[in-house]
Amino acid sequence: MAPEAIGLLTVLGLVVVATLYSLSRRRDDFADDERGLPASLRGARLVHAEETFRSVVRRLVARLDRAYEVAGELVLVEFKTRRADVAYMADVIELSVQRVALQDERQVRVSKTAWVITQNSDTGKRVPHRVTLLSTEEVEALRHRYLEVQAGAGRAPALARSTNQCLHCAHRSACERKADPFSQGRLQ
Amino acid sequence: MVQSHDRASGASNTDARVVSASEIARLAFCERQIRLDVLRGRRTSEHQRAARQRGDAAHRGFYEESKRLAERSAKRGKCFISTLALGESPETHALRQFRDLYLRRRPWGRAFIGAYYRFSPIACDVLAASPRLLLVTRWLLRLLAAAAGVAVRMRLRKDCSHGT
Repeated sequence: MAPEAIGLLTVLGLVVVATLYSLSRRRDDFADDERGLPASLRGARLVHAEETFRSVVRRLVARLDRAYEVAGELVLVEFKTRRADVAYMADVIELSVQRVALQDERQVRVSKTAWVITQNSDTGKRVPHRVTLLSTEEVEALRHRYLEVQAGAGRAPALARSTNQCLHCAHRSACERKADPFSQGRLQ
Repeated sequence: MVQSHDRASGASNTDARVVSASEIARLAFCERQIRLDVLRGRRTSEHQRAARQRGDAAHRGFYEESKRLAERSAKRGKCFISTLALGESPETHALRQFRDLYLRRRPWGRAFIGAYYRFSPIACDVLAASPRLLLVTRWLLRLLAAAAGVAVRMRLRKDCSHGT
């Protein structure tokens, strides 16, 4: 084989390898964007991302992370960074308010099942958690309770369930419950 | 300490205020903290500020991913064969539900969806140029959609009975 032909084949081979490499990288990027998503949402149509919705009737506003369209209804996704791979009640409440605001503003059906994607702040690993959302009536009751607590009305405001939260609270010195920072969250 | 005159004022004066999801979510952590924020002004500890910074940085990354996914989703919607053949009809809706409830939940199904979206623009071009082929495709898709509708109803009944 002539040296020119060998040279041409080598160049062609390099071009093919470079193209395949770039295509494989592109696929990796796409797969990476769906990191931590549950199987049911992989490849689903992302309808809303980082959008704010308002319920004028119920006086609520919510900014949602993502909403996917699955089987004719929207499924909400909330992203959280934390040390423990768990979904809290606060996530359920936040997503429930998002659901009510989105339903009221857009008049669309939003699933009562949503997902909290937790990203471990130490390892970066993402884990999906399926949660069942609260009803509209429960959301309205919570809104009323929030305003009650702010106004100092109704029953006395409840203390944090976990005393570990008190360790990092800026109001610790003024609160009736004081946690000893050296006692692993035990109450004083 | 919650004062008695505070209790008497009630929440009615502020009832018209728009409340955000993140504000209401704070009820799950500590109601006392919400009240102390009102009485003493909102305060954050060093630990809370550090956690928020970490969260904000990770959230920016998540948002960038969301933007790329939304772009891909927008491109996809334009080349769906059934939308071309049947329009936004109940049949198209049934086929979409079948895709989401059956195909997307299995690895081979997701591979099929990926391949379908890759080749559907070419198929759409061919169908758009040939009315007879489009007519045949329309009838075939109607048959498929009828079968898909039955399968979807079965799955939804099953999901409901499992409380999902």
